[in-house]
Amino acid sequence: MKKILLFLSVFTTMVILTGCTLGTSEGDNTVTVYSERHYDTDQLLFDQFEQETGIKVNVVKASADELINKLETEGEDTSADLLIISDAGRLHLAKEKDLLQSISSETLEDNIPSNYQDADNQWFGLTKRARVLVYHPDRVSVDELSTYESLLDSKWANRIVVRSGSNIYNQSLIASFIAINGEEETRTFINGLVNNFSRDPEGNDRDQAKAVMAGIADIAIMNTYYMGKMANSSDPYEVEVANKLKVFFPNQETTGTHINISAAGVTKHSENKENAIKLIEFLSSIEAQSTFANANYEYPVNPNVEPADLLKSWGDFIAQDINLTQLGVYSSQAAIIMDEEGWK
Amino acid sequence: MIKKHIKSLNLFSIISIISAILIMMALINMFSNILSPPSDTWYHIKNYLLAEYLKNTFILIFFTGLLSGFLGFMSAYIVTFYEFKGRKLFSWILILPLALPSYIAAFIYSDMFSYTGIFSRTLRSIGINKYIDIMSISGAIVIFSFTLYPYVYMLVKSSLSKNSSLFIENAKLLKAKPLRIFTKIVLPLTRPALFGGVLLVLLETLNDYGVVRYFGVRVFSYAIFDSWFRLGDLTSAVRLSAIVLIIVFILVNLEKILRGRKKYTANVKTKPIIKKQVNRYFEILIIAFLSIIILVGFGIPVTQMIFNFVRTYQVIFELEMIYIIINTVTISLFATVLTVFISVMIINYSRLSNSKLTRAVLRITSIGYAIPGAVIAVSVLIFFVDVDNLLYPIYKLIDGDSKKLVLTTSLAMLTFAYVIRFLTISFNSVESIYDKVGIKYTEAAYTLKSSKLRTLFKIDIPLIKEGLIAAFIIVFIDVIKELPLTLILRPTNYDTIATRVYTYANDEMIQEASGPALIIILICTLMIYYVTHRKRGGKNVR
Amino acid sequence: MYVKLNNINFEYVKNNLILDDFSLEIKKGDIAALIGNSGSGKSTILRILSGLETPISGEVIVNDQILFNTKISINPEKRNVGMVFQDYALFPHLSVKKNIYFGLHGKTKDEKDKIVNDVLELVNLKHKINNYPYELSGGEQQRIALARSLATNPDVLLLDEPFSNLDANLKKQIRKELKQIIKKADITCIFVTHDIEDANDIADEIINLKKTS
Ligand SMILES: Nc1ncnc2c1ncn2[C@@H]1O[C@H](COP(=O)(O)OP(=O)(O)O)[C@@H](O)[C@H]1O
Ligand SMILES: [Fe+2]
Ligand SMILES: [Mg+2]
Repeated sequence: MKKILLFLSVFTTMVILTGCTLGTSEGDNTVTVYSERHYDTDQLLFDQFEQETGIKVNVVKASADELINKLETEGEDTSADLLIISDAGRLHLAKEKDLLQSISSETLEDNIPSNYQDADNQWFGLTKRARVLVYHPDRVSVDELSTYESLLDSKWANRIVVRSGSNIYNQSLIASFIAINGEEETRTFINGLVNNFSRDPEGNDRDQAKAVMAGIADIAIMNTYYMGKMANSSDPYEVEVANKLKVFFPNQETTGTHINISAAGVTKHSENKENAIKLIEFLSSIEAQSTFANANYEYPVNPNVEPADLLKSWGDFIAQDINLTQLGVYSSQAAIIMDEEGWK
Repeated sequence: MIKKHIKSLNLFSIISIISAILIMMALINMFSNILSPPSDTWYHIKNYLLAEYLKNTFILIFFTGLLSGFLGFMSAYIVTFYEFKGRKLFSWILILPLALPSYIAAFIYSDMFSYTGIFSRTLRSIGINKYIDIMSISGAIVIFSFTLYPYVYMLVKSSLSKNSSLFIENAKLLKAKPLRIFTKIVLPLTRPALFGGVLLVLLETLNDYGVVRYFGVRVFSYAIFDSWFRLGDLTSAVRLSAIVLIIVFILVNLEKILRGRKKYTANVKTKPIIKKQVNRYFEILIIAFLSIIILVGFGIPVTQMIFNFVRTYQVIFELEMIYIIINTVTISLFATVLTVFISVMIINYSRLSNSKLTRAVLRITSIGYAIPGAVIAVSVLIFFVDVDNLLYPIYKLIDGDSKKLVLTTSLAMLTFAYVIRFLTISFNSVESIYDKVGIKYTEAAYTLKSSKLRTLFKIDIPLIKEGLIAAFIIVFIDVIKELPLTLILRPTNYDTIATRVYTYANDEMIQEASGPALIIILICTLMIYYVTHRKRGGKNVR
Repeated sequence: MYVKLNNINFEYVKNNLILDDFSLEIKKGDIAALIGNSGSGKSTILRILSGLETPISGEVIVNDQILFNTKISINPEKRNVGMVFQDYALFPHLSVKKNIYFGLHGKTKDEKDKIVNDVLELVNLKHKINNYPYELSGGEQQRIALARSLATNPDVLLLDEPFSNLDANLKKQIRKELKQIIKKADITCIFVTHDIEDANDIADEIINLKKTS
C-alpha cells in the first residue's frame, strides 16, 4: 500500500509540477493568443509589443480546428483573448459558432482594407496569400495562361496537379468561385478541372510544385508562400525547384486572383478585450506588418507596407473583389459540391 | 454466486469495476449519438464517399495484412530455425521498425521519392527520368507493412519457441520432410500467433491518421476526421466509427471462425531448438532478405532523417524542446504506469473470481485498442465536459472563482484516453506471464495469512516482473508514438514530441521534423534494446 | 469435534455438483487421510477448508470457530489453516529463510528467527536455510513447504498428495519422517492420497471419498 501511494504521489507531483512550470501564468496585464501560426518572428513581435505597452503576450499554438474546438468546449472559461487563424473560412466558422465579438477601432479601419475585414468587425485580416498557378517555363509559355477557368481547355488534359479537395485552401478557392460565379458554373469548373488532373490529388502544396518539376504535370495550383518557403528551404534541392518554376497570377483581366488571409478576432469571452484590440492594432501597424507577413512569405494587408523582394519579383496582382466573409459563407457548400463533382 | 462477489470486494475488484464503469460511460455517451436521426451530411457521405471509404479500407487492410504477415512470419521462422551469421543481431533488430512511427516513415519516404528526394535524383543522374509515386494506397500498404510487421514477428517467434519440443518430436517422426513439417505442424501451431500479430497490425492501420491523410488515401480514419472537421458533423463521424467497429469485430472473430473448434495450444516444456546450419548461398539469401526488411522498415528512413537533422539541428537545441521532451516522458511514464497498474488490478480481479460481472469488466476494459484514436478522443472529450459540469459546484466550494472545465483542461483527460486505448496491450502481456506463473504461489501466500495487497507486492509482482516490464515497454512505446489522441486532447500549449513532429510535417517542414522524430526513435530503440538484452532474472522461476 | 464440514455443496461449473451434501469430522490431534479416486474432489475439500474455494452452502468449522456458513465467509488469509500444495509452491524468488519468514509477517525479527530455527530443526534442514528452492531436491522442497506451514502455527494442517511427486523408494522413508514430524509438532492434520497404503501407514482415521456424480 505504501508503495502504491508513493508511486502515485511521485507521479502526480511530477505531472503537476510540469503542468505549472509550462502552463501559462496569468498576470493582470496580459493578453492570451490562440494562434495557428508558429514562427519565431511572431514571438519577436510579441516581445516588442510587450516592451512598448507593458502587456504580456501568452501564446497557445495549435491547428485551427483544434483551437476552434478548444474555444467551443471552454466556453466562458476560456483564457483566450485573441484568435489568429490562417483562413477566412475558419474564422467565419468561429464567428458562426459565436466564439468572437465585434470590436470598433479606427486604427484598424485605417490600416486594413474593408474587404479584408469581417462585415460585423469580428475579425481582421493581417496577411494575405494568393492561390496561383505555378508552371514549368520549359513546357508552358506564359502566353498560354490566362484564367483559372481556362484550365478546363482540353489542351491541359493530364497536365494539372493540385492537392486534395478536402484541404481548406481548395475549399476556400471553390467557395470564392461560388460567391463570384454561382453554383452551376462552379460545378462545371470543378468537373472540368478534375478531368484535366494528371493524377489523383495527393501530398501537400510543395509536393505539387515538385510534381511539376518532375514532369508529372505542367501546372500546379498552389499558395504563393510555399514558393517563398521553398526558395528559403534548408533543403538545397527545394531551392532549385523554387528557382526554376514560375508564378502566374490568373484572372487578372477578369475576376482577380483568389486570395486568403491570416486574420485575428477577439474572443467572445475575452477578459482582456482592450489589450487584445491593442495587439491587433499593433500587428496591423506599419512597423509590424512587414515582419509579420515576411515570417511566412505572405503579403501585408496594410496597403502602406511593401511586400518582400521575392514577392515583388513576381509582380503586382489584382485580387478577387469579394469580401472574404464569403469564403466562410460558402465553405460547406463548396465541400459538398467538390465531393459530388469528384475532386478527391 | 452472490457470496463470491461479497468475498471479492477488495482493492482489485473496486479498481476494476470503477475503471470499467468510467470507460463504459465515456463510450456510451458517444455511441448514443447513433440513435439520433442521420443528418444531411450523412446522406452526402453515403451517396458520394462511403463506397470509396469501404473499398480503400478493404484494400488497405487486406494487403497490409498479407504483406506484414508474410514479412513477420518469414523473419521469425528464419531466425528460429536457421543458424547463420548475425542471427543474434537480426533477432533483435528485426523489432526496431516498431520504433519508427508509420506517419514519420510516410513523411520521410514521400520526401525521398519526391522530385527533390534522393531516389529521384539518383535515378535522374543515371539518366532514368522516372518518378515513383509512393503517395498512394500501395505506398501506404508498404509503409504500414514494413513498420508494423514486428508485431507479427514477435508473436510468431515466441510461439515457435514455446512449441519447440513439438517440432523436435515431430521432426523425428517425419524425418526429412521439411515441407510436411511446415504445413502440418508449424503453420497450424503458429496460426493463432500469426493471426494475433496481423490483427494488431490491422488495428494500428485502422487507427492511423497521419499516413492516410498525407497520402490522400481515403479510408475510415480519414473519413472520421474529415466529417468531423471539414463537414463539421460529429454524428456522422460517430456513424463512421460504428462501421469501423463492425470491421474490427469481424477481424477479431475471423480467426476463431476459421479455427473452428480445434484447439492448438500445446502446454509442453520448451527445449532449445537445434538450428539448422545453412550453406553459403542460402546464408547470403537469408541475410539479404532480412537486411532488406530492416533497411526499408528502419535503416533507410532513419539515415535520411539523420541527414536532415544535420541540416536543421538547431531545432532541437532550443529551450522549448527540452520542455517538450520532459512533457513527453512524464506523461508517457505516468500513463504507462497507470495503464499497467490497472491491468494488473483487473487481471487479479478476474483471476480470483469468475462471474458474469468479471467477464463484463474484462470485455469492456479491453475494447479500447479496437476503437480508432479519433473516436476515443471525441468520446473522452464529451465525457469530461459532462463530468466537469457535474463537479462544478464542488470546484466552487474549494475555490470561489474556480473555472468550470478543471479536468477537461488538465492532463487527466489525455491520460484517461491513453489508458482506455492501451489497456488491452498491457493486459495481454501481463496475462500471458500470469498464465505462465500460474495461481499456486498466490494461493500459497493466502494460506500463509498474507493479505491480497501484500501478496501482490511480495509474491506476484516479483514473479511476473518479466511480463510487467514487457507490458510497460510496449505501452510506453505506443504512448510516445501516439498521435490522434494527443493532438485532440492535450491541454493548452502542451506539446509532445509526436505532436511537434506532426506540426512540422504538416507545415511542410519535413527537414525540421526529423530532429524531434529522431528523439522518439532513439527512446524507443533504447527501450527495445533494453527488453531484448536484459539478463533474465537470476533466480529460476519454476 | 475439532474440524467439521457440514452438508457442503460445491460446484466449479454451474449445475455440476462436485460435492453433494458432504460432511466430515476430525478429532483434535488426529492425522486423517482423505482417500479417493482422482477427480473425486479431494483437493477441492482441502481448498474449501483453507478458504480458496467458496461452497454454495454448508458449514465449515475449525476449533469452534465458524469459517464459513450461509452468513459468514472468512478469507483464506484470515483463517488459521495451513496448507502444503501438491507441488509445494515454494516462492522461487525467495530463499528458504525468506519463504518461511513470509508467513510470519508482524512478528519481531528475533521471534521470526527463533521460529525459523525451530521448524527447520523439526524437518532437519537447518543447513539449507540460505538456499533457493531450485537448489533443493523434491523431498527437501516438500519438507521446507511443511516447515513453512508449521511456522504459522495453524489449527489444522492440510497436505495435498504429499507423496505423489516422490519416487517409490524415497516414499517409504518420507512417510515415516512425515509422521514423526507431524506427531512431534502435535498438530491436527488432513492429508490427501489415492494410495491406501499411505493411509494405513500414517493416518489415525481414514475418510473414503466416493465419487458423487
Ligand atoms: N478449477 C476448476 N474448474 C472446473 N472444474 C474443476 C476445477 N478444479 C477441479 N475441477 C473438477 O472438479 C473435480 C474434483 O477435482 P479435485 O478436487 O481436484 O479432484 P482430486 O483432487 O480428488 O483429484 C474434478 O472432476 C475436476 O475435473
Ligand atoms: Fe499552409
Ligand atoms: Mg487433487
